[in-house]
Amino acid sequence: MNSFQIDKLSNNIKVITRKNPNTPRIAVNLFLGTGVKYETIAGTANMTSRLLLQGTKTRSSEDIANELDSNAIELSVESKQDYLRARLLCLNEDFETAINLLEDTIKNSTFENIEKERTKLTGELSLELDSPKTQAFDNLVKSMFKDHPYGHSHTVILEELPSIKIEDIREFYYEKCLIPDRMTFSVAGDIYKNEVIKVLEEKFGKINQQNIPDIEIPKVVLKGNKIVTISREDSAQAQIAQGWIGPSISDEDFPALTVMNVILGSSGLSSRLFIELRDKKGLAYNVRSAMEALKNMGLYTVYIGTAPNNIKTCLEGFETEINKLKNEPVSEKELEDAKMNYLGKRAFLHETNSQQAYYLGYYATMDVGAEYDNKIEEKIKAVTSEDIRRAANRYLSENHLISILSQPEFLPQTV
Amino acid sequence: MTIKMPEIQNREDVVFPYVDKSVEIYKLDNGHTVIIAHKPGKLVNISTWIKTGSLNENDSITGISHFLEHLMFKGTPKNPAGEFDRRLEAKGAVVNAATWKDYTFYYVTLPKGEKNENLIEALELHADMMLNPQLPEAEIGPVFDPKTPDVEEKRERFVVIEEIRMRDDNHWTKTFDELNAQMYKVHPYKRDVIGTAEVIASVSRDTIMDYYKSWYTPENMFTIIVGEVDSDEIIELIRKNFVFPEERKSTKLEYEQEPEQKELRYVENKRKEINTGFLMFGFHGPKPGELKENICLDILSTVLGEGKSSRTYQNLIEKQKEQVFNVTGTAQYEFREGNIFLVQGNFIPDKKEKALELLKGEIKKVSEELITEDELKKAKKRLKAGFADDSETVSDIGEVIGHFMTVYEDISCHAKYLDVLEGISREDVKQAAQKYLDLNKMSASVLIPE
Repeated sequence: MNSFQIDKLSNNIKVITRKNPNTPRIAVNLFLGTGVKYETIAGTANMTSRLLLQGTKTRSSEDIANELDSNAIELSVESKQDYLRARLLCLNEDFETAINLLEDTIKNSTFENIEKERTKLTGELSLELDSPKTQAFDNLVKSMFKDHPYGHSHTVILEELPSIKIEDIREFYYEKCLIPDRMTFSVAGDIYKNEVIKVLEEKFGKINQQNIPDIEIPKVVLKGNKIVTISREDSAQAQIAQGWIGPSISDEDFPALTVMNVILGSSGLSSRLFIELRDKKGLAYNVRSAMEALKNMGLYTVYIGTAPNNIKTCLEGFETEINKLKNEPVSEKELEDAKMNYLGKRAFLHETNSQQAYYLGYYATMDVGAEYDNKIEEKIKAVTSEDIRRAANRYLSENHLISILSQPEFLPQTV
Repeated sequence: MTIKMPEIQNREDVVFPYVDKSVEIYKLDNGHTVIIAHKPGKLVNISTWIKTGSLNENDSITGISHFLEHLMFKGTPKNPAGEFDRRLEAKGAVVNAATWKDYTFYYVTLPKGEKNENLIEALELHADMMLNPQLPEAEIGPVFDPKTPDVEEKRERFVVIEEIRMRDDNHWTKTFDELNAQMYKVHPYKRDVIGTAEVIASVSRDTIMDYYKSWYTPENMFTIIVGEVDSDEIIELIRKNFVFPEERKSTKLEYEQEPEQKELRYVENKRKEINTGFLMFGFHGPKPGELKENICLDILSTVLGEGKSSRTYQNLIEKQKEQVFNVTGTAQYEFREGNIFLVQGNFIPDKKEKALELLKGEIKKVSEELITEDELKKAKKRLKAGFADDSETVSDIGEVIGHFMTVYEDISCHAKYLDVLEGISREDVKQAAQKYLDLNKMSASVLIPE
């Protein structure tokens, strides 16, 4: 990959640029380093990100949609636990138009379409919750992070959404999000750095807001192991998700757990969960593990969609595999294979300008620095079998929560 | 009969928008087609597309193409089950496969390695998997009755049946499958690609092997390599590795053609414990190679339902006083024997009648009135940008080539697309809407809460 540069605008907004010659589209990401964890009413960050595309002082939401689509510019805003991210992608020839639109939405949004967006969001979340898998994960997250902003799942948002007022959105955006010290642009494409900096300085260099201290969010400790269930008569499969509190991205065990996750089941057809529960036992089509490392802590999950009468066998299968990681050293071969798998996947996930802009801005926003996008390679290579066993014991010996959705007669009785 | 290494019979070069250098198409003397596309970078994508899918199935073997796709990963005489995945994933590869109505394809994307060592290994393993699958009984698992699935050995049959169950819980998939059954009454496209649990639980290994040998012939295979590669080296590797173990002759099936649909078909299903309603309209479209009409429908799809400025999003979501729809969208699915045009929406269940009426209204309008100049311009720009999108990764380039080779059966259509697009007028679009988006000849599928 080509090298990247980090610069700052006069108001301290970080700008990371990478020139990739002969590529047809430019990707710009703007990270606002304040996310869901700064919201007091669930859904505030989500509504804010939606309303950023719903009208400015001079453009209606329809004007914005028309201008974007007429120029085949992709612009979306997402809200995550630790940040809001505007993602912009355009053909090289439309860069100026795209940046102008981004400037207007970031600086001049009115947030007035709140009622319409509330209705739309309610409908979209209801649609998503019609999926049994989404519902099971929703229950897992809100039960693990109860009364905590990381637990602001779809159903929690649906409960609190009616009480969000336009003032809440404006306060959240102007006082918590639009803070130059916490803003990062990452740009990848066939660009000239100096021209990009000049344009961004002109458009965003005058934003001037008071910095506010980083919020301290409480650590979550699960009290005992727990099972939460949802009975759903119409579901053909049972959905099972088991979760542990995972590491933050800056945790020293993050690289070891990343490698462990490849071995257990984060991807591909040769992971332990895939071979043991799918290939050998025919329990599922979809079985996997996942790690979401956030700024303050994380979430580690294993998941399977299975026939309802397999619930017990699957939970035992999870336990066997987790215990193996905690008790038996991973062989040198499996360790090396997993590292190579991660490193190869990394190339796969950095193929486009859009992906590269994302990772550079993401690591900078997560306070580990854009350089982490390169450093992670060395960290992964250094992981030992003992590191994995230690990390597995540290995180997967803690209490867990299991979320099961199934037809009622197959749900476990002990809740 | 002696099996010899294939020779190049002819070569054709095709220019692809946004792709460096021409795409090279080699026809080998055994009928196998090899395509090489050049893209700078460390990653390489290897895929083989086979011109068979549910199109070539009948009721007794419905789902066999997809089941075979799973079983292709279960080893060869040289490489036992799991070896392929393990060795390649240990090189950082993304490995998978997919089955659709017209084709089945298998792919590997990975860093090509020092002196192409990973590429060489991957190509060797990929070719072995394509040409010499064992389909071991032990991996397929014993035959059983899906109504009382009380067997010890749960193997790949169970995995596929879980996949069927998973799809049962996907409401969009269910709505589409029901729509599909309305749209096709006789043509083999009427069958779901995934098949039925009854067939998957009972189909024999011999039947699967016969199917494999009838359809995985050199003539039906297209092997595509995308990356920063040396063409001569690739061709030599293919000649060396793709030596078929026996002669395989292609069969040609005559497909029973669907009579023209002359009436509105409507199906409504109910499901407990869902909170929203799902609907899909389906229209029969042109064949993929009828490029002008095909592109007109792509334009109509853009105008009606792609992006937030589209008519359905603006008129049916943004501008409605009372909410009816949660989401709307349109798409054209390209199939060798004729495309289909889909219009879909998710709605508030007690507004079903209104939802149907609104969506029909938007379709009626494009047949009666010209779309605006701005809309035409916007659609053209969007479709053009789609080509840039499709050229950004080695996997995407591979997929576009595979799709054109097996569905269009004419790769030059890809290169011609942008030229034809440029010449399309508002009248052309209206004519295509009148011809294809006839509300009296459409199918509709609705899924609502019980």
